[in-house]
Amino acid sequence: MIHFKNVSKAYGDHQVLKDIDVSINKGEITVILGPSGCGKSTLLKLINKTILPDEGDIYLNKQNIRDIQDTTLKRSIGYAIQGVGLFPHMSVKENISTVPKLLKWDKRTIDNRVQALMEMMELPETFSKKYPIHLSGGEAQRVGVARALAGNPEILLMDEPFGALDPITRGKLQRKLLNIQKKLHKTIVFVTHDVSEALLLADELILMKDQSILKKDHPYKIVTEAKALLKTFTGGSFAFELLEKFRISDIVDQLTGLQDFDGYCLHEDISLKEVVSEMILQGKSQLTVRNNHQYYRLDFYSLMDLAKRKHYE
Amino acid sequence: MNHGKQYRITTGMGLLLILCGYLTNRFLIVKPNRILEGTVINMPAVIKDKPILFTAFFLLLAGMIFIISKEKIKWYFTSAVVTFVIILFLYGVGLYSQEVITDFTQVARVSLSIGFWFVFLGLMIVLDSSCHYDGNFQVNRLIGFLGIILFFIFVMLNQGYFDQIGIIKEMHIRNEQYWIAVKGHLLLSLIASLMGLFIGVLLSYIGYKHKKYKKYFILVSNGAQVIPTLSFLGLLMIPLTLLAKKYAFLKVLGISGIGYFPALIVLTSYTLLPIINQSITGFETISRDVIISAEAMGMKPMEVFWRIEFPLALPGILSGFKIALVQSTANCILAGLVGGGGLGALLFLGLAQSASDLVALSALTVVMMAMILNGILSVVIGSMKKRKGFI
Ligand SMILES: Nc1ncnc2c1ncn2[C@@H]1O[C@H](COP(=O)(O)OP(=O)(O)OP(=O)(O)O)[C@@H](O)[C@H]1O
Ligand SMILES: [Mg+2]
Repeated sequence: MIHFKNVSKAYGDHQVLKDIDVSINKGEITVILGPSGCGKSTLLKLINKTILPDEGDIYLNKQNIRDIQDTTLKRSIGYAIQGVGLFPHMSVKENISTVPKLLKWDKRTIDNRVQALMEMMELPETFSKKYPIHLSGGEAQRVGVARALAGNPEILLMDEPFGALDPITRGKLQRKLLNIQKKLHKTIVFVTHDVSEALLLADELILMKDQSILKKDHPYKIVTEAKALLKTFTGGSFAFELLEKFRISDIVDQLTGLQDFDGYCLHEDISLKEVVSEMILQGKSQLTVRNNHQYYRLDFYSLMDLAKRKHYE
Repeated sequence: MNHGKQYRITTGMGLLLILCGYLTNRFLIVKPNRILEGTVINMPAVIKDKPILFTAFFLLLAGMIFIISKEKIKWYFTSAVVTFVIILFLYGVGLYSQEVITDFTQVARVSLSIGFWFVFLGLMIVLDSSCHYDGNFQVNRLIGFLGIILFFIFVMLNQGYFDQIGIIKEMHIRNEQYWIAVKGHLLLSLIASLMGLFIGVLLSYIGYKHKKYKKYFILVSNGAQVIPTLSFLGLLMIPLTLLAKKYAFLKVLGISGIGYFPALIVLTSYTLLPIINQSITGFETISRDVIISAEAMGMKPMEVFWRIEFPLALPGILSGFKIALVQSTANCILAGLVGGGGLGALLFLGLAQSASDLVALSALTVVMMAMILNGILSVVIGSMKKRKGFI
C-alpha cells in the first residue's frame, strides 16, 4: 500500500534517513520502533508530504505521491502528531471536527461522529466545550487521536499517540485500537519507542536505528529470531511483552476442553502474561482456566507455541 | 515590592497632588470675557462658599486615612469613595461657578485653572491606584467607575451646572464646529489606524512567513517612528503638491499637499510600528506543532491563515491596534496644522487667540477620546482572550 523506494532525507548536513526501502501493507498495523532521534517521525512525515524526500520516491497504491495533490493526500490520511498540536483557540469539539468540516460533512453527521470518537477515547462528554489549555497531557493526546480519526481516513499515522498516558488508560486505549482495527482494517503506521506497546499492537514491526531500517518482520519472528537485536533496544523481557498481546479468549480455540473440573481455576479473561505471572506465584507449571463455562488446561511449555500459532493466523 | 504597598504610594502621590492644588493660588479664574485676565480664586475660598465641596474633601481625607492605616485594604471600597468624591467635587465647582457669575452675558465665565487640574488629576490617580489589586490591573472596575463618573458629568452638563465654566461655554458657543471637529478627529484617527492595521498585518504575515523580509519591515516601521511629525508633514507637502498639480484626478480625490491626505499618510505610518511589533509577536508565538497539524489536515495556505494563524494572533494584533489608535488620537492634533481638521484645528485656533478655554476644551476632548477608545478595546481584547481559552 505504502512503498518507500530508496528514500533519503537530510536537514542541512545532518543525514536523518538513509536509503529507506520498505513496504507497508494495507489493512495492517505497522509499528516503527526505535530509539529517540533515529528518524521515526521524519519517516512518518514523508508519507503525507509534510516534508519531501531529498532522494527517492514514495508510492501510495502504486501512485507516486509527488503526483497526488497536497490537500487531497493530506485529507485522506489521519495524522496524530507527536506534539499533539491541538488548536488552542478551538474547543475540544471544534478540534475534533476540523477535518469533517473541511470535507464539508453535514452538521448532524459531524456531531454524531464527534460524540462517538470522544466516547471511544474515554473522554467525558462534558469535555466537548473545554479548551486545550484546560486539558491534561493525556487528555490532550486522546483528543489528538480522535481528531486524526475524525475524517475516517484510509491511512492513519500515529506518532507516539499514547506517550503521556498512565499504564492503565494506555492499556485500555491500546485494546480499543486493536478492537477498532478488527472491524475497520485501516492501514495504520504507529511510531513508538515502547517495546511492549510495539509487540502488542504490531502486525508488522519495523526496527529502526541510526537513520535506517534494521529489520522489518512479523513481531513473533523478530522476538524469536532477532533476539540479540531486540535486546539492544530493550533488555531481555520481550517474551513477556509478546505474551501480553493474547488473552485467554483469543487462544481457547486452539485447546481441547476438559470434561469436568472442580478445583482452583482462573476465570477472568486475562492475558497470557498474567497467566505466567500466576504460574510463578503459585509455583505450578499448569493451570486451569475457565472460558464460557468450559474448562481448559494451560501448560507453561505450550504458551509460546500458542502465541506463535495465533500470530501466524 | 509588595504590590499593596506600591499602590499605597501612588495613592499618596495622588493625595499630595490634591494638596498642591489646594495650596495653589490659581484654582478658578472668573473672567469678564474669554481673553481678558480675570480674578483669581483659590480653593479655600471656594470651599468656604460651598459646604458640599468641604464635605467631599472631609470624606476623602477621612476615608484615605482610614484606608491607609488598615493592614488589609478594601480597594473596591476605595474606588467607590473616590468616585463619589470626584462627582461631588465637580458638582461643587459647577454650583460655585453658577453663583459667581451674576451677569448672564454670553462672555463672562469661570475658567478652570491649574489648581483645579491638580486636584482633578490627583483624584484620578487615586482612583486608578485603587483599581490595582495584588498586582492585577482590574480594568473592568476602572472602566465601570469611569463610566459612572462620565454618566454624572453628562447629567450635570445637561442640567446646565457647567454652563458658566469656560470650556463648556466654549463648547456651547462653537457647538456645531466642535462636534464636526470631534467627528473629523475620530474619523481620521480611525481610518489611519485601520489602514495601518491592514498594511501592518499584511507585512507582519509576510515577515513571519519569510524571515528574510522581517528585518526590513521592522526597520521601515521603526524609521517612520523616528521622523518628527512636523517634518514628516513638511516633507510630504512638496511631492504631494507636485503630484496633485500633474494629475488632475488626484485633486478630485482630495489628494494634495495640505488637508487630510498628508495627515492620513503620516498617521498611518506611525501606526505601523506598534501594529507590526505586536502582530509579528502574535504570529511567532503560535506553536510549530499547531501549524504542522493544520497543514497535515489538508488545509490550504489561506485556510491555515484564516482558521488558525489569524485567530491565534488576533489578541496580539488587536493590542497593537489599540496602541496605534490611542497614539493616533494624540498625533492627529497635528493634522490641524496642515488643514486636516479635527480637534487640532480648534486647539491651534485657541492658541492663536490665546483663548485658554478653547485650548483646554480641545486637549481635554482628545484625552477623553483616547481614554474611551483604550477602555473599549481593552475590554474587547480581555473578553476575547477569556472566551477563546487563552487564559
Ligand atoms: N526540522 C528539522 N530541522 C533539523 N533537524 C531536524 C528537524 N526535524 C528533525 N530533525 C533531526 O532529525 C533527526 C530525526 O528526528 P525525528 O523527529 O525523526 O526523530 P524520532 O525518531 O521521531 O525521535 P523521537 O523518538 O525522539 O521522537 C533528529 O536528530 C532531529 O534532531
Ligand atoms: Mg518522533
